Amino acid sequence: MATDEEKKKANRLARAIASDISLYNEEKIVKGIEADNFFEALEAELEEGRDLYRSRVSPDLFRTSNYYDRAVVDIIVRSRGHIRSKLWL
Amino acid sequence: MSRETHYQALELGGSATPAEIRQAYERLSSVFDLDSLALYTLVTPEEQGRALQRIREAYRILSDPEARAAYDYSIGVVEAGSPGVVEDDIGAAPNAIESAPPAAGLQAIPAVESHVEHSAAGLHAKSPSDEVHADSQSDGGHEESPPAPELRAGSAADGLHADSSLAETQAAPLDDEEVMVLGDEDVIEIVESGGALIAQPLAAPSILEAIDGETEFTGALLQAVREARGISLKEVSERTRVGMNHLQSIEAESFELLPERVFLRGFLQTYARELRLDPARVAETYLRRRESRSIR
Repeated sequence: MATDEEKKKANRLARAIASDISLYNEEKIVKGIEADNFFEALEAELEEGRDLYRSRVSPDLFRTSNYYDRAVVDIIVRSRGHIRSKLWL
Repeated sequence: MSRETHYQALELGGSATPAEIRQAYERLSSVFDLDSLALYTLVTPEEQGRALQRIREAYRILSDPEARAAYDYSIGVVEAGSPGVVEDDIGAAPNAIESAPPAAGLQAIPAVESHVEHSAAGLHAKSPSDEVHADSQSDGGHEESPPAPELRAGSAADGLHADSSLAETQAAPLDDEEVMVLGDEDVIEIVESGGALIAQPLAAPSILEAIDGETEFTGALLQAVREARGISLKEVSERTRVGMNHLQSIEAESFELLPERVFLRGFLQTYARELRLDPARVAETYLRRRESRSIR
């Protein structure tokens, strides 16, 4: 059972990874959202980010939480809600 | 190269108001906050601490009117609004107070600022952060009313760095004294960068012509392309927000010093865009090269 501190660190790591993906892939992210193929366009980056996240948290925490996916949505996608896309429909 | 000024530290022009100084300080302080997620992997905590210290030092001076006046005097900035001051020379460009030498083979000649502004209305989209006047403060040029020199140079390594009105300037009839003189080796191209049109040396054709869809990008090749385009690592770092240490490690193929794959991919793609290379191709081939070395 993961402690609160471990959960907090995992969440912080997930958000840091998502933040970096967001920072260095602006053009790709925007095009992915516009074309409604965000997850396909960013597949390599998102999977590599997930691999890193998985390697740094306990298997139990990885299995029972979704910090990484939430961070991707919160930091990369939701912050670009101004972009016109079918993604929001 | 002299140390950056307090204005540059806060990304401000010399005529910034107290409110602007305060805003810049608060903005940069939050950016470099030690808990900042945005800087994760970009800079070390030590670098972050140094940057914060630098920002605070700059704010301490610039927020104190007396200290600021003394500082302005020491670096040769004339108080904005003083008679004869060309406001834009001081205020528009954070870098304006630090002169940079024009590129080799180019001559900055007093000329055509007003002509250019009128003829190229609507095209003048240069980013203030890109703008470095080629003239020197030490000659007291800001005290005089004649128009500023036309040529603006980012740095010697940057080659010619003129604003978007360059083409207009060259197309319009000019007096002999207004002609921008280029050396034999100064073959330039006009490219868009950050919303501005800039002129820069053409890369050596032999390097770029050798690159195609099958090219495997190595650190040495990226370095060669960068150098051929006349861009320094520092400039790349400033434009891309990728740390100098990472760029150096990429070019040197110091794989053990490079970050995790997910971050490195982002760095490579960003760097490739700056060099006008195919980001996906650069990232894939470079990452494959690193994998083949079985470092990670």
